[in-house]
Amino acid sequence: MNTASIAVAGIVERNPAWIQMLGLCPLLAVSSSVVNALGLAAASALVLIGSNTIIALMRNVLPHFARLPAFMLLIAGLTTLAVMLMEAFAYELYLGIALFVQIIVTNCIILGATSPDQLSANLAALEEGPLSENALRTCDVIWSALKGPAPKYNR
Amino acid sequence: MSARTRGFLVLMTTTLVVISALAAVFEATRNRVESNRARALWRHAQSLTGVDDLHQRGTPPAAGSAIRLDDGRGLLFGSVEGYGGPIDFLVLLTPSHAIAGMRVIRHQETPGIGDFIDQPDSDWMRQFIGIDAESVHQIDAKTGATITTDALWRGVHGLVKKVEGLQ
Repeated sequence: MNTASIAVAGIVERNPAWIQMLGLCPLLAVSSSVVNALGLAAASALVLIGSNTIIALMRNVLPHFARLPAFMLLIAGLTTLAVMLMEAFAYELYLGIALFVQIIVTNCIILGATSPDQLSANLAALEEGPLSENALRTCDVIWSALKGPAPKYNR
Repeated sequence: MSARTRGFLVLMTTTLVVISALAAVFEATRNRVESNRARALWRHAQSLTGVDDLHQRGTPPAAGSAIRLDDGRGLLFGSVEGYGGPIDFLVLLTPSHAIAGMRVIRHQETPGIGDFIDQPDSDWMRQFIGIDAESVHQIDAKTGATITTDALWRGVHGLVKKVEGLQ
């Protein structure tokens, strides 16, 4: 496969929003104006390209089991970075789309599968089933220490 | 080095790098962000009150305080914890302490569920107009956005009571 056909496949055949119909929530909600749509596109591109590049560079030192946490960490960090930069340098845009930019995090986990390996790791992780009793108890202990004045809602 | 140790070290390093980068950007953009917020806040305040030289007051007052306008109305600055983070809002009081207007200026409520509060002209938001602090709780909750509406009730009620207590 040459570069041109990879590019065409990325834009047409494998375009997540267009063909696979993924990530439509922020796309439809935000694309009420050209400026908002381009802003979200720029933020998504920054996060997706940035996290994929860094992961690709880390590939050889990163053992398989640590890939998913590292990927999530980078995507969450880059998303926050994108929101912070937007708030500083494009405040109008920030007001319009900042709420939706954070949805990029989930989208990148789904869309950002850089290799068949990573996709199957994501899918395998979904099939792992519930956490162990011990892990659940630990979560409860941490939550009871942290919850403070948090409202009771869906919990 | 075992793969386990290496994975641990790489994850720790990544965490440190990401946190440092965020802290650095936060510090570097702090002043800019604050002046952006102040400008946006005064813009909301001016459209709420109809007074167009408010921005000359410089840095906006902290949440929980108020300024008296020349015509006797009070402009109150509030902030309350919502579902997704703080909700910053303004309340305009008539000299007889009735609510003349309300404006949410910043929030992080869930898109499509709690973000109706940033539409000042919606029927729901207009329910605040003309009532006093005690009647705020009679405003209907919004299905699915209990926490958001509850936060606004508490926020507006608490803010008006607090400012009345200061007088």
